[in-house]
Amino acid sequence: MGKKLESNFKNMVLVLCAIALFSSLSVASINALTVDTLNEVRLTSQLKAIRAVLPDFDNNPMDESDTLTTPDGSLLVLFPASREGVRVGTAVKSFSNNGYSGRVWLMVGFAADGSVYDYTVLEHKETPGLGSKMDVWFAKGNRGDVTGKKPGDKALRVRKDGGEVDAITAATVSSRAFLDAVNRAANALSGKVDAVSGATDATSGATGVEDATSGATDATSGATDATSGATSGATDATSGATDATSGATDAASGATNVEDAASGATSRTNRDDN
Amino acid sequence: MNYWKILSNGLFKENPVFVLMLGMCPTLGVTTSAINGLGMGLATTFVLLLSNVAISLVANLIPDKIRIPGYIVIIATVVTIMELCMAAYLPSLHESLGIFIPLIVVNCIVLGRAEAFAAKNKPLPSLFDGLGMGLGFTLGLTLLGSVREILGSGKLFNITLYDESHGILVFVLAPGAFIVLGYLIAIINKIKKTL
Repeated sequence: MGKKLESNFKNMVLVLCAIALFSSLSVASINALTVDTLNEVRLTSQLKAIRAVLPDFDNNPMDESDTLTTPDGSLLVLFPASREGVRVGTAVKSFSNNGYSGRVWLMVGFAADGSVYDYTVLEHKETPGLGSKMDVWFAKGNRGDVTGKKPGDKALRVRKDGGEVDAITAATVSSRAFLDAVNRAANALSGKVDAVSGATDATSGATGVEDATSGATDATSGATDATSGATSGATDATSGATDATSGATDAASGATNVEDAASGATSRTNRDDN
Repeated sequence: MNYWKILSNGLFKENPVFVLMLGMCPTLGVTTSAINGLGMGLATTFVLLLSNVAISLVANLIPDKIRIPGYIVIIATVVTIMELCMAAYLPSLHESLGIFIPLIVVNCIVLGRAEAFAAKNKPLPSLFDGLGMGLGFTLGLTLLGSVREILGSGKLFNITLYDESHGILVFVLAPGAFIVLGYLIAIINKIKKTL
């Protein structure tokens, strides 16, 4: 072995610069070589996920995709799928921040009527053996089956929270995160865009309204206009519910429901503020 | 130079996981299943091979006082290249190893071998040292991952051995890694003493 280069200032600067230059060059060239394949892989895996959660379709959902931005800058992506020009469903790429460790990413497929068709877990860091079971637990025929349910009408909740979905044994937190992501996807789908991207208490205010006005179903769509705070959410709900009751036979009972809706929304907000 | 000796040194006598106990972060972190251990081990082997050869080639050109930053940049380059290739050509493995791939950069074994072996030896012995250490690391990780997978989820390389509900969950979780590693080291030390 020859003699080592002397550690003087000039040598050190020169050598480090040379190493850095060589490194950047090689990384840049490898990146240029792999970037096409990488993009292809991402697209294929995305399309595969969309195919997995929807009935057969013949369009390219990625060409028609629609992106919604949440307040923290995350993206919810809607992929509408159609067959021979008829909409068969929409896949929504959704997430939840309530995971046991880190974000949970899902691709949720909704049939044309807004019910959950199927789902696939794109990314999660839940506990292996517990929360990680979410990839099959909520699938068709399994204990926590969410397929066929319509989270757009009534947000999905685990039994412990008064809902009707069986949580994964010993992984309630992961189950909640899963349902949160499904509900978020449903909200994005049913045009509760503002409720999703606006204030979060507007969302829960609207949910409160939903619960209260179980008689007037269309009130839900009225309540979703809520953009700023739950007070305006409740006000919108009133008008929405009035629209709904105009079609209903008993207008008086509809009006009572609206009042309940308003108080329901308000109390919900207070609870959220605490 | 006896290449077999260099190779077996990393595999058994100075096994990075069970004897040197270097690179504990990926050792404990990724070994929830045998396949993850194997993947991480092979990825590290690849990095060790390339970085050992590269560093033994340029070791004399790097002044002593800046050798560590120099080595780190070289290792980081190799890791980044490998990560890009893996993401492009082996996406599923890349997904399951996730954060641990970039962490190979600061894996003690890689820097340790650069400093202890590659910087003082010619490229060919360095290549064998990298291969031996890498395979030793792979062996350790796969063994650890296998035991944890069998005890924790009743599977081995994803083949079901017994019903998952009988698995002892703690072995898949972080504490299980410490427990299994401790017992494996104890067993290996016992075997070594009797030899």
